[in-house]
Amino acid sequence: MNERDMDRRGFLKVVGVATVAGMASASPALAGARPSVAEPLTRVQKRLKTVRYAMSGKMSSSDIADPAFNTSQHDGRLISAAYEQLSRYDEALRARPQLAEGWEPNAKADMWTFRLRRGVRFHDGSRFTAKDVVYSFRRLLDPATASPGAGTLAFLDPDGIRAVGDYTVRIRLAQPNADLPLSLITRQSYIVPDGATKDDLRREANGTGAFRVKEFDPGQGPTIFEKNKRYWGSATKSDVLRLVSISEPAARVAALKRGQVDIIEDPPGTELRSLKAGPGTRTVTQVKGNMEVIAMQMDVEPFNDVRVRQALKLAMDRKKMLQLVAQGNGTLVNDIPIASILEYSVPGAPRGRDVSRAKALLRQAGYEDGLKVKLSVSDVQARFIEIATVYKSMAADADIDVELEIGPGDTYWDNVWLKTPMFVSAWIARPTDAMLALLLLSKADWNETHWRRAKWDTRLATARRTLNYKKRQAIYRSLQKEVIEQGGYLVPYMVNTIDATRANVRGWKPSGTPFANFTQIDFTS
Amino acid sequence: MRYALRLVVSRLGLAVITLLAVSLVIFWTVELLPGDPATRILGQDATPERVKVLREELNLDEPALERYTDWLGGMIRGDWGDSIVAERPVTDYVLPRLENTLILAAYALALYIPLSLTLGIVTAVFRESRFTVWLSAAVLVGTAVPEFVVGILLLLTFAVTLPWFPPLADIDQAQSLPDLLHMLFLPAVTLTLAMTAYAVRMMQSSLVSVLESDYVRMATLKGLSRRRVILRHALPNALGPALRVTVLNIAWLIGGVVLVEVIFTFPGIGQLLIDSIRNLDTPVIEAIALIFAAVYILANLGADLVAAGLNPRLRARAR
Repeated sequence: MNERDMDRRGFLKVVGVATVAGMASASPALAGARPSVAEPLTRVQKRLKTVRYAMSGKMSSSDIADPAFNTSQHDGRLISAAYEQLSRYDEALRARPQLAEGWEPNAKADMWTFRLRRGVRFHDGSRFTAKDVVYSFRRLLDPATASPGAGTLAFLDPDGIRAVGDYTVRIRLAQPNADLPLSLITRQSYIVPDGATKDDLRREANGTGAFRVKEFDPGQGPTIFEKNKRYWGSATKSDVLRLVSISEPAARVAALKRGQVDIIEDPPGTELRSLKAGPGTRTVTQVKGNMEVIAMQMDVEPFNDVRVRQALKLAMDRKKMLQLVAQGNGTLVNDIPIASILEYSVPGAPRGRDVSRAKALLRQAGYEDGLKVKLSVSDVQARFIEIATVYKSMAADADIDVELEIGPGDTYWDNVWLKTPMFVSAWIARPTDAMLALLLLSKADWNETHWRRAKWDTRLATARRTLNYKKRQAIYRSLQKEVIEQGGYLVPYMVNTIDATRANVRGWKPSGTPFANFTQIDFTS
Repeated sequence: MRYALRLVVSRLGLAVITLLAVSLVIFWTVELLPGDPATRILGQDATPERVKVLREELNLDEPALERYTDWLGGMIRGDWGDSIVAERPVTDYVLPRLENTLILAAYALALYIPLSLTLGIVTAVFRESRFTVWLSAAVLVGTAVPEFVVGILLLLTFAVTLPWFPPLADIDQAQSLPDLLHMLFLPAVTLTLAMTAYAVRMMQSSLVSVLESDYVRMATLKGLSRRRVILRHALPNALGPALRVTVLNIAWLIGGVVLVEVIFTFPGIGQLLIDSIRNLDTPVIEAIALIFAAVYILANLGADLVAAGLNPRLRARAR
């Protein structure tokens, strides 16, 4: 205990000494310059640029620096700062090279060759080679590892992943996949050194990322990163990154306003205006595809009639929904949880409201005297109750009586979600193919709407092995159109991700995915 | 003197016995939770191999009594076992947090004792004045408002609107003692206010009844100064109930300050306990529960001894 405590206090001392030393060495330089009271401080700050980042979730003693077990909010932040994958997402969730310089599929898209970046080193100094890639993926797939990411990567065959020399990896697939570099990006598929075990990585991150972890004590305090001086890419703009948790929203906003932190996640909606106006603070908005959805199970009455599903969709006033529920912070989307920023999403304006057509459809379906449905919801997530309440009043205009069944939050995901005929759910943006497979394949575990069409499944498989981009895009779009027209999803909008920063912070973009990029954060003087 | 010594020894003995009983209860409660501890801890990840490994780690195959004595012996020796979740010594987790909480609690108590004593005396002595009526009303309101409301109000007023104090009680960032006191001021005041209200009520009512008793009137009639009557004759007899409240407050300070910890992002032991319960980290939960019990029992012991010291009859016999 004493040793650990010494570490903490010792660190405090070191920081204190470093700050004093910084001041001391800065002042002679200033002596020649014009004297100014404000200047020494900014000089010191410039010497060791520290970004203080406050996340909204709690830190826990179960936090871990091993990417194979990346599930918590904290670990998502730590691991995206310290580790890298073969490929990474760009803004539209397309795959871009990271540790792989490039890749080529064979003609059938069932054998992929990845060319790896040379001259990359792990934080412990060891060289990054093909062996590390093979090991990392085999480790994730090994049942003995028990990684929560094994399921998403189940399409990989551990024996099909081979190193060819030091800087080439070949992956042979059982099912062709024209977008493999995209499918390989998961919360867990970061590259760790060959042979690294959970015990090695539990508290000692060892990746190739632009930041290295300086202090990480699970659940015990801030996680501190420093610039990785041997990073292969362009260096981080800050020297130190300090990750803290402030779970109380009012305290998070107060800490930002007082300048105790530089960036906060997820400021409460009521504070957005004052944070945007400053002084000293501003908000940063990123269009990301976080969607709240209403799911109807297509094999349960009355939702088994396509006219009923369409009537329920036509009763929704999306624009008003966005205004009322998300204060206008978002974009209207089509009735499928595919973010409109994605390359394969269906372009064009989403369905408008048409109450008289909705009524006509209901009459045709035999509901002349109006329709009664039950919508299950809970306050388990922000905006859930609001979306259900607003939808209820909109549907009333089309003679649809939506009865809200409001249940407790802690059992919602276990007992209500996927189990009742109509419920509220939410999704963060994922690439199109991943999302379609996750929610709409006949056998998908999370098939919320019971969309089960064998032909549709086959066409998804076809899209996957179609190497021609235009053709692939066309198939993905027609698959989505079918769901938008006939499926059981009501999706009014996607919400922007909003963070708030000090006014002098530049280069931060909030992330709606579990991947964050801290490297570009900088301060203006 | 012999009487005093006997009192101390007997109370100490009782405290140890109580603590032992509590430790048994804590251990058995965790034991008695439904299901095998190993499967409970692993939850959905409970493969037979992992359960077996964990059972061995936790020595679950030994008899319960033996495990209890091992655990208790370990607690006494300072070997509190390993956290299941983080796989490192429990002491690493609990002691720094305990230290933080004790610092905050001591700070809050340092504000609380003079404040509640003064207010109690003032409201009792000047019980007729208008000012006291208002003060009593304010104290009543203070009793009724929960500490997380007070905390948020203080935070919004004195950290945001008037930027006098930092909103984060990030104790690791404190560079010096004045810095630390400045940083912890708002949480300490929140705790103080929550504790003071009740203590002032108790202090006031018991002091009023003492002040109206015959022996105080007698002392006044004998011509003793008002000051001497109040401080020397009335106050010691009126302190008993206030002391009881203080003991309850100390126990609450150590364990029940979770909400204040959350509001001011303070790394205290309350948040650790919640985190450990969420993670089903039994060794940490057991250690913290035992610490809470020990603090509670020790505070009670202290109050008993102080009360005995204040009581003139006991003092007389001790002489």
